[in-house]
Amino acid sequence: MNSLRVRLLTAMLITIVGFGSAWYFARAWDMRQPETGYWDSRLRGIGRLIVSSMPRTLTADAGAAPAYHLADTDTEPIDDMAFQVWNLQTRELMMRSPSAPDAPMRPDFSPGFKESRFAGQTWRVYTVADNTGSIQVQVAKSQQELDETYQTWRQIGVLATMGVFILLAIVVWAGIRLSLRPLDRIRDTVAGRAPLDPSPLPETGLPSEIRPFVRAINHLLGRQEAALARERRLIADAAHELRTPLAAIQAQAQLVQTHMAAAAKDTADTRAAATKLQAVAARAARLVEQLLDQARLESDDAWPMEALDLADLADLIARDFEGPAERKRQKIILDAQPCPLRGNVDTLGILLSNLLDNAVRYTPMHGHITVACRLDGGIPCLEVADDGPGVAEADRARIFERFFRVAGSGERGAGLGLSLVARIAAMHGAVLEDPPSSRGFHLVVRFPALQAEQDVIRLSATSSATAPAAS
Amino acid sequence: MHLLLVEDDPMLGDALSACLRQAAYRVDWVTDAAQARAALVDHAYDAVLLDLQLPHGSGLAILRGLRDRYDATPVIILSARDRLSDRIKGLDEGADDYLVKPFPFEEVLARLRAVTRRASHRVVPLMQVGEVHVDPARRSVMRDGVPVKLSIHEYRTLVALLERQGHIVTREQLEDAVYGRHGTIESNTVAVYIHQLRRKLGNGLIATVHGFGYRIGEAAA
Repeated sequence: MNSLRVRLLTAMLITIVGFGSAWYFARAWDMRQPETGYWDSRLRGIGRLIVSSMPRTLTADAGAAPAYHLADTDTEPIDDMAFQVWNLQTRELMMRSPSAPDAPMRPDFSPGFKESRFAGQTWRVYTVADNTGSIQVQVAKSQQELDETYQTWRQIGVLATMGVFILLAIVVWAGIRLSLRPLDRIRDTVAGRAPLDPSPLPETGLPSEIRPFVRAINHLLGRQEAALARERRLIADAAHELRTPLAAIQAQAQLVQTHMAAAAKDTADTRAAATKLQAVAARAARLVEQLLDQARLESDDAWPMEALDLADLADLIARDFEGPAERKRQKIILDAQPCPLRGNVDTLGILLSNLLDNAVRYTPMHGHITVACRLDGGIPCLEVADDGPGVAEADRARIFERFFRVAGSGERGAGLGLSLVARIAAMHGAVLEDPPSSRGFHLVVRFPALQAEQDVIRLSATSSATAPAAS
Repeated sequence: MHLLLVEDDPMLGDALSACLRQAAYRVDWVTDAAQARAALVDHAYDAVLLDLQLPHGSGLAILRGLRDRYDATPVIILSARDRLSDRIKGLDEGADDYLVKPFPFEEVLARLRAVTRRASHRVVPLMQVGEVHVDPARRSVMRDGVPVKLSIHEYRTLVALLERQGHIVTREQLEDAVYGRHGTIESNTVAVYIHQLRRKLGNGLIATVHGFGYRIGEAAA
């Protein structure tokens, strides 16, 4: 019963039913009420009409004259009502309707209403005299007929009430649905939104009851957006404020090293210390980078997707690792085939950097790292493989968790890299596969295939680009 | 070699310029955009190391000003902005390379070597072959008057071929022109970029000289 719609409808229908039955029972009760009720009033009216219609010249003989017959004799005769006119002094029958007996329907001739039995059934009889006490009219209506009429009336009443009930139910239901439609619209809008979408809900065309509610939500959204904007600004500032001093530390460590070499004061100890300083700075740098990437992914979900070629990105990022790989005498093999897909440049950049960083980090000296992208049966695929130690079967399921580090590996990462990769892949609707390989770590990222429509655009662009050359 | 270092952070600027001097570069260090502009007008540098967030203007504006003057001085951006889209934007504006802070110093040296090597036989004016026009100032490529969008590496491949128009350019020369260094990375990307250039600019544009390399335009006598 939490639905406003059901509640409103139930309340309205209960009112309709309650009112309908109250009215119905009141009518039924009133109809059967003696003396003052509907039927008795009608019977009394007829009796009084007959008394005041009787000519004063009426005698007992006149009543014996043959009566007129109805024009439509074939319709059923009137046998559910009867009347008699009696001379009150002589107790002689002066006139009677065809259905009335010769004997008085009310043998005691007392005025008012009374039940009476004759002609094999019960009658409701009303007796009324004129003002001089000369004649008395007895009017009767068959009690059985009354009961039948009452039954019919009751049935019609029930049917009519049900009809009204159903009609009102439909009208009310439609009315409620129509007036709650703005709520449905808002629900659909809210349901279809990205989790951090700050744009306000539409306030136009809303009923006045709902508008303040939506306005309150919009107010909240606005404040949330401001908070998110502050957070994003903080992250951006943090990036700048942290990266620049770290770069300075690295450069200063380098300076110390070269100064000492120049002054021929570089004992093994001082050289090791300077190298260690650089390594510490590098580690801090990597941690900062991954934490910032993580924070950025969480504080923002407006990552615009665009048509791009993974090959371009793979080439750009792979060149970043040329230096680190060179220092470890490793070889990077880049096999980039055109690989169009819909994606976000920045996050795909983070994904590629983290995969390559892991590969360079965990692959020993003179190792080989393969980066490949291609369309595999229409499905954009990115593959990064190395001939390092790989991941033990036991750890395999956990490597995508945050802060998980493979035990015993000499290298120290923050344990964030692959969790970022998993997150970005999920954001792109891509599937990660790590096929068990004989050696090294091997990861395949399968992106969703480009939709047919985009393929058509791409193909038409291709054909229009090549057409003039062919002519 | 004469370098211009544009870096507003005193700690980093100080350390970098000292390191560069020890690596036998002559270094002018300036700390804001106005000084950088003045220095670029007054001197011919062999390369510029450029921070993006500067007092009195952005590094990107300085770079744009340089390229608008058809000045091909190699520029390496040193920035804390690490988003790939920022990097692509910097490269599209005409930067030769983009290093994200923090970086190991030897990386700066390696990149400096690479960009100066790439720039050593660079010519700047408008280039044209058939219906294809290239404007290095705007990094724009037109085919029959219609702009064609090229990735940064495709653009560099095209320019390298155009600079030696009529001559065979080997794969190694192209890799040099696109990346400035090769050896650690073994890739097929140059072939991919040639393929993409043919697709975007016409099949007949670039000839493959089997066993030697590629050539754009008619063979020179």
